[in-house]
Amino acid sequence: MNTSVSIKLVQCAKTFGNGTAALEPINLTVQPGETLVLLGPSGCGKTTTLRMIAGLEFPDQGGKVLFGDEDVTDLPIERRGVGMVFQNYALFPNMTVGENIAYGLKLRKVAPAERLARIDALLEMVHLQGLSHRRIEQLSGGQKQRVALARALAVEPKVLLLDEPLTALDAKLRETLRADLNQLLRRLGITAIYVTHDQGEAMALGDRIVVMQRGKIAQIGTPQDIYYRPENAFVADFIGTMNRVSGVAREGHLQITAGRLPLANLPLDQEAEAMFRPEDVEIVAAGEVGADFFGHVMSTFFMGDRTRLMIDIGAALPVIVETRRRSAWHAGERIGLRVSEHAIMCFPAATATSIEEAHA
Amino acid sequence: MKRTLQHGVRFYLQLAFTLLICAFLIVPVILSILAGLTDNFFIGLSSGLTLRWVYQVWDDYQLTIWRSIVIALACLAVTAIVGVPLAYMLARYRGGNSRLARIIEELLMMPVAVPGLATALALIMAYGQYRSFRGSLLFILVGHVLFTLPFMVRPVLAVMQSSQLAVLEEAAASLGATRWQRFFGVVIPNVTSGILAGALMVVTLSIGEFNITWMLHTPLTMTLPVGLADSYASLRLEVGSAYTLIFLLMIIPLLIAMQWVANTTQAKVRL
Repeated sequence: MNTSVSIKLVQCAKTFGNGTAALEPINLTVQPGETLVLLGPSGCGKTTTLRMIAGLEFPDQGGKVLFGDEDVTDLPIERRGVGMVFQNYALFPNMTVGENIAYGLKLRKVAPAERLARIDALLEMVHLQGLSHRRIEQLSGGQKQRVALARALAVEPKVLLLDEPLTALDAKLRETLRADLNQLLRRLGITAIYVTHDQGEAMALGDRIVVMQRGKIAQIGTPQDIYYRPENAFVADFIGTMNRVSGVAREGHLQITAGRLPLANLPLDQEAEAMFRPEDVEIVAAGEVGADFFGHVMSTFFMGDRTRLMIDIGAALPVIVETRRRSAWHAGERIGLRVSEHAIMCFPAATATSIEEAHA
Repeated sequence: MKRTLQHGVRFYLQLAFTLLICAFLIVPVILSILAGLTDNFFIGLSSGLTLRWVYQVWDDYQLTIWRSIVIALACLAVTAIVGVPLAYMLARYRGGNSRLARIIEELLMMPVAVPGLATALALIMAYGQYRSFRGSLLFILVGHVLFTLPFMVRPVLAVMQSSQLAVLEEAAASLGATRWQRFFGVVIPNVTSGILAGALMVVTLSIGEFNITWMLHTPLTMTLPVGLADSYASLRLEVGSAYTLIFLLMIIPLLIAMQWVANTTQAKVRL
C-alpha cells in the first residue's frame, strides 16, 4: 500500500528565537520502511527533531531534510505528505469518527463513495468497526488514539510520525495499543518515526533507537545494541535499570569497598565506574567461595516471576539484584554477589556527572 | 442530612443580607416599570394603571428601537467578520508570542478606556466634513464597532490561544490542509464558544451604548438610549419610564436567547 521512503537529516540544528539551542547539528538517516524511535529525557531535542521532519519547525540555515531524493527542507507540513499522531489525540471535536478519518481524503477531493469505503477499511484496521458515526467525546482514550492513527494513515502518507502516542493512556491500554501498533507498522512497512521517553516502548517498537541527550545524539543502534552495548554512561544508565559502583583499577580487577569486580584491561590506579544490570548479578551464599563482593539485604520485593533485592554494599547507592531463585531472603542478611566480566560495562569516573540527568 | 435541614442564625443572616442587596438593586427597576404604567406617577398608583405612555413611546420612538436593533446586528456582523480573523492573526503571528500582537491587542482596548465623548469628537473631526457619511447610520456604526471590537476579539483570542487548538491545526496541516482550509474547517467550528460569548457582549453593549452615540447622532440617526435621554429630558417622567419598559422587554428575551445558544453550543463543542 505504501512505497516507503527514506528520511535523511543533514546537519540539522535548531536554535529558538530566544537564542536557546534546542538541537546541535545532527545527521540521521532512516531506512525506507524502518521504525526509528527517538528516545530521551524531556528537553533532549527528540520532539524538535520530529517536528523538523514533520515540517512544523524548520532547521537553522544549512540544515537539510530529505525524503528519498526529494529535498523537503522548505516545504511546510501540509505539502510534505506526512501522517502525524499526537500525544493528546488532536481529533477534531466538531466531527464524528468517520469525518475525522475522511478529513484528509476530503481535502484531496476523493469521491464520497470511495471515502466511505476507505473509512470502513481503516476502522477495521484499527479494530473499531462500526464506530464511524460516534462523536469523539464518546470514545475512550485508547479508541481516540486508534481513530487518530486511522486518520493519519487515511491519506497514505510517505512517512508516519508519532509523538508520544501512548503517553496519555493508562498502563493496560498502553500495552494492547503498543502491540497493535507494532503489528500495524510491520504490516504496512511504512517509514515511521516514534518519539517517546519510555524505554520499554522504545525497545518494543523500534527497529533502531536513537538515544538523545541535551540536543545531541548519544547513541544510535538496535534495541539490543543500546541495551547490551551502550556506548557511554548516559545511555547505559538511561536504558533499563543499571547498578553503578565506583572503584579503583587494580591488577585484573576493580577494587570497590565491598570487594572486587572482575575487570581486566584497565589502566592501573584509574578511578572508574562499573555498571551492570540487576539480572546479571548472581547471588552466592555468604560463606561460599566465588563471591566477588558482599553486602547486606536492605529490602526485598517479590514480583511474581522474580524477586528484586536491594543490597547495601557500603556505597552511596544500593546494588539492585533481580533473581529468579525461589529462596527467601530477610533484611539484614549478609550475602555474596557475583557478576561475570562480560556483563560489566566500565566508564571513566569523569562521565558520572552526566548520569544525574538521566534520572532527572 | 440533619445539617442541611437545620440552618443556624448565621444562614438566615446571610440570606437576609443577600435579599437586601437584591432588593436594593431591583427596587429601582420595579419603580421605573411602575412609573411607566401609572396614569400619574406623582399621585401614585391610586391614579390607576394605563398603557397610554407605552403607546405614546411606541408611536414617537419606534424608529429608534428598530435603528438600535439594526445597528446592533450590523455591529455584530462587522465585529465578527473583522474580529475573528484578527484574533486568529494575533494568536498565530510569529508562533503566538509576538510583541506586536500584544501591542495591537492593547490598542484595541483604547476606545473602551478613552471616554466615549473623546472617541466621538475625534470621529467628527476626522470625518465630519463628509456630509452624507456624517448623517448616516454608518457613522454611528463606526463608533459602535470601535467600542465593541475588543469584546469580540478577546474571548475569541482566548479560545484560539489554547494549546489544544494549536495542535488541532497542526493535525489538519499534516493532513494537507492549507491555512485557509484550516481556518474555516477547523478553527472556526472550534471557537464558536468564543464567538458566541463575544457576540453576546457586542450586541448588549451596542444596544445600550450612549456616550459615543449621543455625540454622533443626528435627529435622523437617533438610537434607543439616546431617545430615552431625549424623552426624559423633554417629556413626562412616565413617558421615559415607559420607554425603559419597552427597552427591557426587548433586551431581556434577546439576552436569554443568546445565552441559551451559547450554552447549547458550548455543550456540544468542548475544547
